[in-house]
Amino acid sequence: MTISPCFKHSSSNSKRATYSVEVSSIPVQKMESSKIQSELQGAAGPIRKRDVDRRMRNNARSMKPTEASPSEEDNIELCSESSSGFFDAFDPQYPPITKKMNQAIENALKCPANHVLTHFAGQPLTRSDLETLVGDNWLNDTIVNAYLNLLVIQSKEIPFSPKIYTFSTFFLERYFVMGYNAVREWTRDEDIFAHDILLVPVHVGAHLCLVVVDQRKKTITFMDPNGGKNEPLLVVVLAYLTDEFRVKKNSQVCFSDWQMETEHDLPKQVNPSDCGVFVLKYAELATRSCIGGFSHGDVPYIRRKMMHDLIETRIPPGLMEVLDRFASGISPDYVPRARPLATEIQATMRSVFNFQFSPHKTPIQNPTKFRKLLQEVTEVGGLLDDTVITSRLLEASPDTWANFIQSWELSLVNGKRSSIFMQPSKTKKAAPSERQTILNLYGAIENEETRLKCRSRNQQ
Amino acid sequence: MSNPESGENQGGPSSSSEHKEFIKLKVKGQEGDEIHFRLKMTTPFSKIKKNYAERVGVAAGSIRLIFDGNPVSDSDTPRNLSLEDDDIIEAFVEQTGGMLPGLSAC
Repeated sequence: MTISPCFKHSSSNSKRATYSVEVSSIPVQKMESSKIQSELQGAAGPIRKRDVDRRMRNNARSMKPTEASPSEEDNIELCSESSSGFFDAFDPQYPPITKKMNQAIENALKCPANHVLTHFAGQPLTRSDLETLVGDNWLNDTIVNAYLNLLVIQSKEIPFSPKIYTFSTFFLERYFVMGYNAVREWTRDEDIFAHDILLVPVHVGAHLCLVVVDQRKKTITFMDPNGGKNEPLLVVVLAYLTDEFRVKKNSQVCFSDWQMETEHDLPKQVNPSDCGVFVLKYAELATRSCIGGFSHGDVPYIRRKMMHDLIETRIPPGLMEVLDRFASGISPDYVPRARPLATEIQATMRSVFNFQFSPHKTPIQNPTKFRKLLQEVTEVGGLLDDTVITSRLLEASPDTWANFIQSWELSLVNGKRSSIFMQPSKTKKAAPSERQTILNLYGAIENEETRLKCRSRNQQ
Repeated sequence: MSNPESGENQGGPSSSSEHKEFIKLKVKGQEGDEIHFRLKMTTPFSKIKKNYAERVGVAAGSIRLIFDGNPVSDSDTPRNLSLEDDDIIEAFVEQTGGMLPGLSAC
C-alpha cells in the first residue's frame, strides 16, 4: 500500500453549515436549576486543599483506626453538603447545565465576533470560534486545539491522570508534506516521550479524525467518527515518532512491537457536521478515566457543555476525579484511613457508573465481565491499592452486587439510562447518600461472607 | 533569501536583536510558498496577518500564524517572541471539519 494519507487543503470557506440554529432552542438537559446549581456549587466547586485537610482531619478524629467497617462519622463529612442530588452534580457523563452556565454561554455569544474570550496555549479563542459549536456548525481548528489543550490542563490538575500531550491539528499534515525538519521545533519545549498519551488530531480533507498514541500500551490507534480506516496515516505517525526519537533522543528505537489499530467500537456520527465533536469526545474518552460512552443523541448537550468548559477554561471534574483528589490530597501516613475510604467510594461509584452508562456491561447480567472490569479499574486507577478492600470488592459474589444495585433501585428500563441520574426530582425515592451506599455495600458483602462462612462450616 | 542584505543587522546576530529596529521575516504558506516581510520589531502580527491574507486572498480571520509550533497571536510582536532575521512564520488556513464520505477510499 502506498502511503497516501490524503491530505487535502480545504479552502477556508469550505462547506459550512449555516448558522441557523437558535441558541436558546438547544435542549438543555436537567434544568433543575437552583437546587442543583446550589449543590453543584457546593459540591462540585473547586475543592481547596485546605477544605480537604479540614474534612479529613475531622474524619480522622472520628475514625476507628483498626476496623474497616465505617462508622457513620467516617463518611458524614464527605456527604454533608449534598443530599439526593449529589450524584447528579457529579454525574461524570452528564453534569447538568445550570442557569448560570447557560448565562455564561449566552453572554459569550453576544460578544463581537473578534472578541477574544480566552486563550489556550497562546491561541486566542474568539466568539466566532465558539460559534462553531453552535447547532450543526462545523468545528474549526481553534476549537479542536483549544479543547484538546483543555484536556491537557485538566489532566495536570487531577492526580494520577495519564500525562497527555496534544499536537495541533496542523501538525501531522505539516510533517507529512514538509518533512521532519519543518516540525522539529514544534516539540521544542516538551519531551513527547515523557507522556503517556499523545493526541494527534488529523484534518483530512474536510474531515477530522484522531490518532491516539498510548505509550504505555505501545499502541497507535486511529479513531474516525465516520468509521473509516486510514492505515497510511498510522504509518505516518509511526514514522514521526521514529524521527522524533532519533533526533531528540539521539538514538534509534525500534517501534516494531507497537500495534497499529483502528478502533471500530466507537459511537459514530450520523450527520455531516459532527465529526469535530466526536473527535473531541474520543480524546476525552481516551484521557479521562471516568466518563462513559455517549451517543449521537447527546451531541447537542455535549456541544453546549464544551462551550461552557471552554469559556471557563475548566472541565468541572466528575465524581471520580473529585474522589481522586480526596484520595490523593491526603498523605497516607497522615490519615491512614482516609485514602482507603475515598478509594472505596470510588470503587463503588465506578461500578455504579459503569453499570449506569454502559448498559451492555451490566454487572448483574455479566458478573465475570464486571469483575474483570473492576480488576482493570484497579490496575488502571492506581488508587485501589488497599488490597483488603479491593479483594473484598472483587470477591463479592454476583449476588452481592445484584443486591447492592437493587438497593439503589437502578433498574435498567429498556436499556435506557434510567431514573435517578436524569430526573432526580421525579423519582419517588431520593437516591441514597454515598454514606448509605458504602454501608449498603458493606452490609451486602458482610452478609455474603457470613453466608459463605456458614456454608463452609456446615459442609465441614 | 540567500543574499545577506546588510541593512540593520550590522552587529552580532543574536546579541543585537534586542536593539534592532527592523526585522526580516518569511511567512511560509501550506503550499511552501514564501512571502517576505520587513517590519518593525514592535509591529504586532495582526498587521502581518492582514497583509498576508490580502496577498493570498483569504479572510484575515481564517489565517493562523504559527512559529515553532506555537500559535502567534495578533498582539505578539517580533520583539516579544524574540524573533531573529529570516525566521520563518508558518501560515495555515483555518480548518473546519464535518465529514468526508469518501475517506476510507484514501
